[in-house]
Amino acid sequence: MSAITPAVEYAIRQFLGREAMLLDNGRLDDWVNLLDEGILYEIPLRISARKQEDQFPKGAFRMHEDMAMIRKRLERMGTSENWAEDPASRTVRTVGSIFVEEDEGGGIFRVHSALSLYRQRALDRAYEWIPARRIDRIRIEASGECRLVRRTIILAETILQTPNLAVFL
Amino acid sequence: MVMHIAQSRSGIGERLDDILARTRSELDRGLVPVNIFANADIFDAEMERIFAKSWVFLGFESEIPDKGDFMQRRIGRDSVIVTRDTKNDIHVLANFCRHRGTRLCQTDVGNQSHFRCPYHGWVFRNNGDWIGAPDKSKAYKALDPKNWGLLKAPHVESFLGMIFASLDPDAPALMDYLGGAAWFMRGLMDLHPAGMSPMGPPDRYKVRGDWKTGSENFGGDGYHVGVAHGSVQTIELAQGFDVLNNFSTHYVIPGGHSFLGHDFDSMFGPDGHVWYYPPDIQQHFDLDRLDPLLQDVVKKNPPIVGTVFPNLSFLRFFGPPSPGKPPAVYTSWRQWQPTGPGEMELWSWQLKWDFMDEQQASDSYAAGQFGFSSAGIFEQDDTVVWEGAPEAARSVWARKENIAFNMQMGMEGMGQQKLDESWEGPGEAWRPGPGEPSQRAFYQHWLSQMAETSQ
Repeated sequence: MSAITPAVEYAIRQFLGREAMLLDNGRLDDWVNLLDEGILYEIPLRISARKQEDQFPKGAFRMHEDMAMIRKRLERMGTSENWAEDPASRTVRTVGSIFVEEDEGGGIFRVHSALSLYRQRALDRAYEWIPARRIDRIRIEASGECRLVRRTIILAETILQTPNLAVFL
Repeated sequence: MVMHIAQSRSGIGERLDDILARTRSELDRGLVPVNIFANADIFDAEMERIFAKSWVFLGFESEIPDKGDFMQRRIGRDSVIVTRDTKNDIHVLANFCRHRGTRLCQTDVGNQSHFRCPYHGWVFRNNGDWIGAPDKSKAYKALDPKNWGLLKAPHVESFLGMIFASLDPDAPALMDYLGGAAWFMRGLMDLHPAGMSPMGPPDRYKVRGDWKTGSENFGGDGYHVGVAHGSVQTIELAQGFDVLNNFSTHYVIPGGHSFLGHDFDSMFGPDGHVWYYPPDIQQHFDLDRLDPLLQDVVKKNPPIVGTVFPNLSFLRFFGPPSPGKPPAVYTSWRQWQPTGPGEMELWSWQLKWDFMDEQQASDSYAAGQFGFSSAGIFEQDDTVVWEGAPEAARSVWARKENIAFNMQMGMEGMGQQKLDESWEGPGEAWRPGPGEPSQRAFYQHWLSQMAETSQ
C-alpha cells in the first residue's frame, strides 16, 4: 500500500476521461482493450428501502458479467440485427466526483466516480438520462497504463426509465 | 364546444364503444384495430374492466417469508401493499390512508406490524384494520373502526407459491379463473414438491410499449424470434430459430391464457427432454407428480413461453451463464405493468428450484439475466420493436385509414397450422406453427372483458 500520489490521480483521471470518450464515439474495440481479462462488470439490483444497506438485496443483479459476456455483447452490436441500438444512441457521458479512495495493493486502486449518461436513441426527440455511481478497481501497470479490473455500477433509479441497458455505463 | 382535448384522447368517431364494436367485427377476420394501443379511454376502461376484475399476480409467498413482511406491488396502476400478518395470513391492501389519501408505504419491501400515516397519524394494522389516531378520544370518539380500515382486496389466493388477488367481490375462485392454465403451470413449477421461488426482487424497466403487446407476444409469438432476436443466433448463443415454428404447438386456453410448446427432442436431439434440463437438475424432478398427459407435454412439447391473462407471462429457455460454459436452463417470470396508454413497466424475476445448489442457481440466474432483463441480449430488442404499436396508434393517418394490425397467421387458407382434434388436454392445441391463434384468442378474451360491463 502506498499513498495516493498526484501522478496516480492524474493517470486515473486521464483513464476515465479517455474511456468516456471512446464509448461516446462508438470506439468499442478500443474501449474493450481498457478492460482487464479478469473483469467483473456488475450492476446490483436496487430497491427502495429505508436503510442504505437494504437497498441492495443480496446476490440480486441486473448485470454480472465477465470478459466473455462483454465480448459477446460487442459481437452482437456488430451484427446487422442489433435493434436496440440501430443506429447507436447518441450519448454524452459526464464523469465526475472522482475520488481515489484506496490503494488496494498490486497496483490496484479503488476509485469512485459519478456518471451522468445522456442517451438519445434513434429518431427520438426526448432523451433518456441514466445517472449512476461507479465503484471501480483500476490497476496501474508498470508502464503507467491503466486497466479496469472491476466495475460496480450503482444506478440512481430503482425502476429504470430507459427501456434497456444496451449501452455500457 | 370542445370535443377533442388531449391528443391521446380518441379522435372523431372513436368513442370507446365505437372502438370496441369495430374491434369485434375486425377480430373475426384476424385483425386488431390500431386504436386500442394508445387510447386513454381504452386504457381507463382496461383498468376498470380488466385489472379491477381479473385475478392479478402480485408476487411470491417466498418474497414475504416472515410475519410482518410486506412488499409494495401493483394491480393495474394502483399501488397495493401485500402483507403477511401475525397469523401468517396474506392481505392485499390499498396503499393510501383513508383519512386524506397519503401513501402509507414508500418502500418496495419492509417489515412492520402496522402502518402509521405520516400526515395526521392514523394507524392501521398490517391486516388493514384501523387501530387508532392521535387524540383518539377527543377527535374520533364515535368513529367506527370497521368503516375506516384500509381498502382490502376481497379475494387473495395462492397457487404454487404465487400470490394472486382480485378486486371483484364476485370473482370466481382462482382455480376456476385459471382453468386449464393451472394445469400447465403445474407442469412448469410442480416437478418438485418444494417448487420454485424468485432469486431477488424484480428487475424493473419502463418500456414505451402497451402491456397487451407483452402478454400477446409471450402468449405465443414464435414468429418474431428469428428476426427480432436473430442476433443471438448470429453470435451463436442460441440455435434452431429457423426451424422453431415447424416444431411448435399453440395451446389456447379459455380465459385468454395461452402457452407455446416446442418439440425439444426434434429440435435439439434426445437430450432435449424436459426443457433441455441437464441430468444434475432432472434427477430431482418427479414427473409422477403430474398426470400422464401432462408428463407427455413436459417431455415432448414443453411450453417455453406462456401468458396468464391479463399480464403475467413466463419464459423457460436455456443459454450459457457465460459464453463457452455449458448451457443452463432459466425460468423468468414477467409482468407487464400498465402505467399509461401505450406505456408499461416490465417486471422480471428469475426463478430457481428450491433444490438447486448455489452453483446451479447462480448459473441459471446469470444465463437468465444475460438473455432476459433490462440488459438482456434478447429482451433489449423487444423493448424497441414494441414501441411501434402505440406510435402507430397515435398516428392520425393510421386512424383516418382505419388501420388494423394483422393477426391472420395460420388461419384457414393461410398456412399449415391445424387444430389437433386428438388433443385431450385443456383448451385447444394448434400445430405446427407458424400461427397466431393465441394472439387472436387473447384479444377475443380482452374484448369480452371490455365489452361485458359496458352494456
